[in-house]
Amino acid sequence: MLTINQIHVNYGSFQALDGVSLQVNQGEIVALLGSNGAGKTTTINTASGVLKPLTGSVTFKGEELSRYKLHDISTLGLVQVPEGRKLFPEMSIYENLLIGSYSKKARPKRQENLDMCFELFPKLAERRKQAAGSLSGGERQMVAIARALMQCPELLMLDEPSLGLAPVIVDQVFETIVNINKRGMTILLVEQNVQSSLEIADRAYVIETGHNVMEGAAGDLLRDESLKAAYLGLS
Amino acid sequence: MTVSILTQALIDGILIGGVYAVIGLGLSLAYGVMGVVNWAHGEVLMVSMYISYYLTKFAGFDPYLTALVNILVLGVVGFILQKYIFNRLINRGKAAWRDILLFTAGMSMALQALFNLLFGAEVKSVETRYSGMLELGNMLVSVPKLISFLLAALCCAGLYVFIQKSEMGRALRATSQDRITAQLMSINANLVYCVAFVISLGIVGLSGALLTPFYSVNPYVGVSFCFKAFIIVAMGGKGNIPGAMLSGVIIGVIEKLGGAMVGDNLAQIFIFVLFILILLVKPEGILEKRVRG
Amino acid sequence: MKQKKWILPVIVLLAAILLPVVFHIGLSNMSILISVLLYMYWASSWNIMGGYTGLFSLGNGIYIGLGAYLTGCLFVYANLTPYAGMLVAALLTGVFSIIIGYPTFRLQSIFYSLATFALLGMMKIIFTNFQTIFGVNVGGSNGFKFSPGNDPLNMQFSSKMPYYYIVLGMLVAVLLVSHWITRSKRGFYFRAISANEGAAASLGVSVLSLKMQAQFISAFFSAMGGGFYCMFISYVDPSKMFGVELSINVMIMCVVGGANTLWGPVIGAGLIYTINRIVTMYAPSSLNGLATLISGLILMICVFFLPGGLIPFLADEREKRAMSRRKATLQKQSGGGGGIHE
Repeated sequence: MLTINQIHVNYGSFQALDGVSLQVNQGEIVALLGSNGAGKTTTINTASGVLKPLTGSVTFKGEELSRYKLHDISTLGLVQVPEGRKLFPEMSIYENLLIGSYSKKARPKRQENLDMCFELFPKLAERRKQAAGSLSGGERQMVAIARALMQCPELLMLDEPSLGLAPVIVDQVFETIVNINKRGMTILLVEQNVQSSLEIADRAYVIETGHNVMEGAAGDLLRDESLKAAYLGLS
Repeated sequence: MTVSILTQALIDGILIGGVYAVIGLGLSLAYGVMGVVNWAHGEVLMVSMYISYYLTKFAGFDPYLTALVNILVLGVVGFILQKYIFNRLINRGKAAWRDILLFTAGMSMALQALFNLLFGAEVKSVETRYSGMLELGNMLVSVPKLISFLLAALCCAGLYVFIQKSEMGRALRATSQDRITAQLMSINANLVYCVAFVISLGIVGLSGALLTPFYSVNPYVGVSFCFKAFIIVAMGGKGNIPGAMLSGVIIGVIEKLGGAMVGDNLAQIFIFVLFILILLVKPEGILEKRVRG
Repeated sequence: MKQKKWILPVIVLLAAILLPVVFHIGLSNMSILISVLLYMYWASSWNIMGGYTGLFSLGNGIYIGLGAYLTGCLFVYANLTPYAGMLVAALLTGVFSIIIGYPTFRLQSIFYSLATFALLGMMKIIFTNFQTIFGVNVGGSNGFKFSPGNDPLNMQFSSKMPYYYIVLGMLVAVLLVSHWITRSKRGFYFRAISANEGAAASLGVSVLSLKMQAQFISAFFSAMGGGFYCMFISYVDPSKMFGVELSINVMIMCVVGGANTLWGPVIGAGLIYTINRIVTMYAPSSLNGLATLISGLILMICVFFLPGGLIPFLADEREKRAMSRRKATLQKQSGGGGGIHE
């Protein structure tokens, strides 16, 4: 569904990505792992169109994304839940969700999606008028995911959803991700939390300082000794 | 200094303050949504005042109806400016605000000089059928100023509803809070910016019509309005509609009360002092927000 | 390598020094040359604050005017020779600039610009409305006048040539200081503030103190230019010194040439002054203000098409060509293999 092919991305003169590739097939949960500064967020941002690669290509459902403007890409079905959630702080939960369904594609399904989100996250339904800036980390993550769901996505990219969250909340988040996937959503999960990610993913890629170093079925990677040494010791 | 003179000045100040508020709002909106500081904001007002003046004086228009022409003309101009110039400058990234400041400063200079060339420097005013005073108790209220105030207040209220309740209003707010994430939500930021600037200049167009019945025009009339608009943005906070309304009224009242006490010319010093006070007292309100950007 | 860069400026300088000696330059042309050099000087002075440090002052005339008035008054009332008077005036103006700068530095940059602009207007009102200030007669709206004379020790010359060399020397001085800014550590901090104030603060230096330094230096030089101007024409006109046109023109000259560069202000001043001059000479007198209109248009065009000014534009073009060469190399490398590992 999503193919990232050898992308090179620069920040000014600093080379952030030096030929990263990955592929996500329909219905899968794919994890993109790596330590801080490896380039995971850069990769996701390039996929969603925030960044433009110097060379290489990003293809979604057969469409080359370089032809599209940033604000048109999510209507194709490729939706990102950004790192740090990036909610609109001065808007209420409800308004954030409304913004999620701004696009012409999502607006007709707005009520239907709202109902689905509130069913998935009942706590948000009670607090819908509360300003997004005043929520706890876990609640914000829920709103961010809900807001992304309002965009009628076909492939959901989550950038470090466990960041800054207590372990209990992290479990809830990952449970939600599995839930959504069971309903048919394809997932690309960017994470530093290697253990939990590999437990729910089908396949995974590992990148280091801007290029691929490892990939394979999640189960295999979980048992891989070198990976354990390098990453599981930290997490 | 009798109470009635002071009360008269107070009323006068509130009425003109409403118009100041709406002019300041135009600037505040553009600045709040996309950080565009239109140094030529006053000159755009001047242009709209000239349009209203000539339509009223020579084409027999009702001065308030010229607002429609103004809004149309300035809306189109605003769209073109934003789409072809400001959006390009903003998308360049680095220090776009400086470029926009310089560009609009050049525009301001050019417009003043152009209108001086075209129409001369003499002050022009027009008699309209909206003249005369209304008696409220033992206070005299100028009819055109009252009408303008009401229309200005209506405009502010309408804008408030638009920003808070409508789809596009939400998009404006989202884009101003986080441009990139808004685009991830399928919001076309460039288009949103155009809407914001069209509204900004449209408001100015309306204001020009509101001023024509009682304010005379010359090529340099925009300068003092622009200064007051900036004070309103500083006092009220960018994009803050109730704040702008309050600030406008405060400025109007200070100006008229000051005028009653020391004469209109020296009253401008009060405005200047107000500006200094705001800079000194409320720097947190207008301090650089490092998160933005 | 670095020595090569010096050759051209030195040659230009020598040519400038020898110019009046070799060619006989008439009085009016001499005035023109002196004016051009003075504007180059003022544009470079503004550059220190506005270009390098990013303090976009729209009220440069404040310092120019103060320098002019102070120098003139010190000469007329205290019999202080202007050679010293200029320095004293510049120092006092520098201190003044810090005093008014202190509250405004903390503001968002746009409000800093607005504050300087408002202050300029305030100065104009004060100096055109009040005959005496602090007990000193400064002439009010008629301006501050004194009789020109031939008194070399007091910077009064009957021929214009000495003025030419004085302003040339001043220009060299301000350019040397600007050059120091581009090379020194302090200058690096100035430019860091302009680029990204938050990042600059994290370098551990006091941003406020640096801004004050930049402002002081800039105001100092601007004021000295004002003092020079006062002695050159023996007259200080408040509506011109504190007028919007002078300040904005100086800024335009610097910006059009290239605000963050050494030679930008010089070239910009030469260009804009020449254009202004030509327009006022050949335009019919009924078209009042055409020069201002054209200056405004030039600024708009420059901002849009030549971001950063003339000199950076040319430098950017070079860099763009280098980037596309790199892209082509990369594409050649990845064109062959590529594809996803499976």
